[in-house]
Amino acid sequence: MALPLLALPLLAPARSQAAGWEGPFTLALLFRNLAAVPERQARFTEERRFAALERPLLSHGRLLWRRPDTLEKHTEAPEPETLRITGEQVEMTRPGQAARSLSLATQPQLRAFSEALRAPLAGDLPTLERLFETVLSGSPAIWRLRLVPRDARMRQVMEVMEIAGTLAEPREIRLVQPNGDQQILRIEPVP
Amino acid sequence: MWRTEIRSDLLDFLPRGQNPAARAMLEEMRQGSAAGLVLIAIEEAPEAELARISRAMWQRLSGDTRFSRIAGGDAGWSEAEEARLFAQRYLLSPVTRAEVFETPALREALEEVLRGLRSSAAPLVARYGLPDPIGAFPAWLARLGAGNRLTTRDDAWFVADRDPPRAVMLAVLAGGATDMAAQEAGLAAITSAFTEVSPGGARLLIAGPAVIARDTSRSIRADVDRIAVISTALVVLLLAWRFRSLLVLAALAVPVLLSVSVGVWLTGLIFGSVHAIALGFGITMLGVTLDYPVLLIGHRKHGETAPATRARIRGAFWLAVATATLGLTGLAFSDFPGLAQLGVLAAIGLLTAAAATWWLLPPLVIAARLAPVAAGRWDLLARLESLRRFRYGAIGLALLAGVALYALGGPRWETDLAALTPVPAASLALDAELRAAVGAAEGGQFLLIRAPDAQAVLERQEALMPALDRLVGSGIISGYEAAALILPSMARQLQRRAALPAPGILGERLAEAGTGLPFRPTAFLPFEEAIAAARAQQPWGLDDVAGTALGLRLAPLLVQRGEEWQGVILFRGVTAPDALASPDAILVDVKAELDGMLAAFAGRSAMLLVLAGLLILLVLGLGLRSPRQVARVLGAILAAQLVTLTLLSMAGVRLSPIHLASLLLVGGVGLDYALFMAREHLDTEERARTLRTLVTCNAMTLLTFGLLALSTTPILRDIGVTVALGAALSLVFAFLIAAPSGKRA
Repeated sequence: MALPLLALPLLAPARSQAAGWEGPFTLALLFRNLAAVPERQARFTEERRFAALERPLLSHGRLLWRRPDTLEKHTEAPEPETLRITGEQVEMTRPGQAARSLSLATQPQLRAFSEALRAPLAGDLPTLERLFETVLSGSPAIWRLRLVPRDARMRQVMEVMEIAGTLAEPREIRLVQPNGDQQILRIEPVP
Repeated sequence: MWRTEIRSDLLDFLPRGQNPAARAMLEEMRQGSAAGLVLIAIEEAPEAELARISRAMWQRLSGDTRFSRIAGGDAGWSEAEEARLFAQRYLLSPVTRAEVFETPALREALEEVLRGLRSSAAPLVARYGLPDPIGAFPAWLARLGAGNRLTTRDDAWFVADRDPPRAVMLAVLAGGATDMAAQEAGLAAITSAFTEVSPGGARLLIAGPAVIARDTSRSIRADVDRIAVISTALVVLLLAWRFRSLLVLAALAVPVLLSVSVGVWLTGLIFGSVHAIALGFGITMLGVTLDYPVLLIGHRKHGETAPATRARIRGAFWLAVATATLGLTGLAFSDFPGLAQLGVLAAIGLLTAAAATWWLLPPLVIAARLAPVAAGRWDLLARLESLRRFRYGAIGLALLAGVALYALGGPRWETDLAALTPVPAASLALDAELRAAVGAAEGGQFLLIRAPDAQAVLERQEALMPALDRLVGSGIISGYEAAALILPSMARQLQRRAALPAPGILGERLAEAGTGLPFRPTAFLPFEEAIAAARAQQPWGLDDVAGTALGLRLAPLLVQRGEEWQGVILFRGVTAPDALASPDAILVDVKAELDGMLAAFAGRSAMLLVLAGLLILLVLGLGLRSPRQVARVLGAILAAQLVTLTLLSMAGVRLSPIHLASLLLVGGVGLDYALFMAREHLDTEERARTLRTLVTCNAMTLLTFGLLALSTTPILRDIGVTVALGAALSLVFAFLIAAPSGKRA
């Protein structure tokens, strides 16, 4: 499960690139800055709230983003699992089980989850706007992006997704499902 | 005439079954699920592209009525159908037993659901796992697709752990194996569905019995066509050189063409279709009918009218026709439908050619003013005829051959049907490979269960299933396919219903099982409601799934045959066929049954040969009225047959039904030679004429069948070798033995 440490020096998130934030705070400006980071590593804690459960389920692990389209989520505890989204392909691996692989092309609901996470990191504004109604609020220092799927089938599994962040760093992703179930992903960049 | 339907599955070359199990087997092979299975593979493209092609093909083919099933990627049912199946899960699923509703088992189930909610599959688990924590639905689904080495990616099936990737689909042709035309159309539909979805560089491979049948028929036809063209050209050249007249050539062609078209047409009428092997062999066989017009024209003297020639050779001619036809008629009563067709086709063809020669040719000769043919050099004749001093040597040689054959233990019969299969090896290999990947049942062995009604068949299958599961456990089989796995008997469904706990009890146990787990008390309300609903559900019968994807899946496995119902249990990965026997079902070991049929055929065909021989003897006796002449003719034929058989046996050839037909043909040809040679009181010119004519006939036969011996289809090669060898020997022995002795002009 362990991901080999990357030999490449990690690019620090763009606090020093404040120069890039001049002008009115628009989605285009935000995405330009997000896209400028070719590779990210972060730790996450995730909280899942299900209507069926009395208390939330907590988990933690590592996130890895690599341009142009690879997102990996390595859950370390309490149940190890790897989720890897590359191109059109989603692969799920749990120890002791065969990998499950799905395609975004045939899974419109999966596409909603994946692109909501991936399009901001890739700076892919056209994809995001094709799939979601977007509302951006706040300032470069504290911003919040609200995504509502345009497609009715996607709305069956995703009522709304909210991404909150600071400059070019997403810090929290909150997914709300129609039955009230919620998943909240808190992200702490690895320096 | 080419509209006659041509069949090419080898089933026609199998005898009609002599016992109920054998008959059931042939029926099952022709119409059962194994017969209509088409395995589809797509490869040589990136995985995502293969998946796209597979999905697009599925969409195109799934509405096609030529298929009873198209599978690839998913279960192939609609959302509404899935909802209906999901609602019925506790009566259908093998998981439903009283013990899974005990508190400890429920505790384990809840813990597994919790693990699922922590995973990335959480949305799925929330949707399917909460209303079905014991996993009844996935367990039932798994049984439908058990045994394969496939993984599902992108809604397409891929062979697991294979690089480069190969996508796989399954189709079941609706008509079974009986309807060749429908099968060809189905296969063509698969190919065109592939090309219509712009496959780019990807490659389509298809396998299965229908594909094998098609490939076989194609390869035989290609072989026959190629050889027919070459041998026709050579025979024409030979005749042109011999007769030096285009008009004679045209006249000679008339009886042959008539014999082929009338033969094929009438055989098609009688049998409804003509097997490709029977057709290929039959047409080649009818090439020997060219002998008849050659005999007539070749025997015409200078200044003689055609009717006069006819009168002169009448006796020998008609005896030859009658005996050859009688020999082939024996085939018509064969247990092999293919051989019977061949016999009828050849017999009709011979009679047609003889009639055409007799009644059509003389007026043609007159109308076209054909000149008689030179008799040949007489001095050469004397030298050749002096060879007859070796007559007793020839007889001695034949007797020696008989002794040698006896020493070899007699001719050996082919008992392995696989040796008769004219299937390209590549088709067989691909078939085996794809079957293993898909987990498709092999059809080598199966169990048949018959009962007065469908429910009784299902119940008896269920009674067998514990034993079958033990076979799986011990590795004797890797899996099996049976109707009862898909749709349990109503009795079994009612047992499951009785195992479902009352709502109050289930609620209490769930509460106890969930102690310490974070589930809310209401979390499993959908589960409790589903169990409560299932306690009032009616079990499903065949009618309840008719017309659904499930019903289509069931159709080939459970069928009504006449008054009774028949269920077939198919196996995968059989390692020890003997272990499959069960007192409660008929075990059909296809290979053993087929080999048994062939063995039985060997005995019966010996009788057939003796019978044909006796008939020929009778006709010869009546026709020749001279015991000495009969003895000479028969001696020549027997000597030729004996030496041919001995040479074949010494070469290690095992005799198949096809060899038998070939030997009968050799007998017919040999009778021609012997009867013409055996005529008495002939002048030198006539003897020279006869010899030259017979050599021409023999050369034509050797050209045709010698080429056949070079064919790539084993079955055609056997025919070619046997007939060419036999015909050559027949001429030699006819010349040495059949001709009257001591008459030198």
